[in-house]
Amino acid sequence: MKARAVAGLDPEAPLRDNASRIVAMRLDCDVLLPRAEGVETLVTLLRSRRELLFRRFHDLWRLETSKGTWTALERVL
Amino acid sequence: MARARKVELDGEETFGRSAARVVAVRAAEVFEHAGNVLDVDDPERVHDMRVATRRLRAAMEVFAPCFPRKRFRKALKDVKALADALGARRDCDVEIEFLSRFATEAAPGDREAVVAMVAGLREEQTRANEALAPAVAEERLVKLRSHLAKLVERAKG
Repeated sequence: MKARAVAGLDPEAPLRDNASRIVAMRLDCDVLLPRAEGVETLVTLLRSRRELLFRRFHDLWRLETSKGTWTALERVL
Repeated sequence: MARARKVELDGEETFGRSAARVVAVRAAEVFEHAGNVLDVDDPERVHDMRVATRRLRAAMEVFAPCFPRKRFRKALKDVKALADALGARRDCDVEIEFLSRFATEAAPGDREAVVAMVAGLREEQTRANEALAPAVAEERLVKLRSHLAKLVERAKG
């Protein structure tokens, strides 16, 4: 998803005014707000998900082994 | 992963001068991480440069109105191309790391197949590295550094 452009930014105006304009646009957007609220836990969530996916892949591999998938593949190859 | 350097900013300073300050630091970080980036035995180099490139891109996009449009678009396009080339190499590095770790846990009978997959990925990694080489060549980086320096100067007003 592309970030919405922030209108009215002025290179000659103070950073403070421009920054408040940018932050207001990013936080008032109802699509982004739930994401902003979740930022603190994002790292933990992603780490857990990575572990979960690794575990699932591992389990899937074992399951396919027990079903003889790899042996069958070797036969056809 | 290398930490981003802190940029001291003043809320009363103009947006343009702040842009110059931030983009100068983020650009410098990209070039600081360019050394040994093609070394596949040290995946952290490409990772650090990719992260630095993403930070630079984000900073440029935030401060876009502070730069001359045409010059900005060209520089951003070059930064994106660099990020893409670094990303393609990094994807291979991550997959190789994942499967190599998996191989150590796999049953002996499976290990051979996983090792074969890693070998295939190493070939892909070599191709990605070959594609990355021109993007991080000294000449190309000097040119990009010069374009970014000009942008920074213009933003100062």
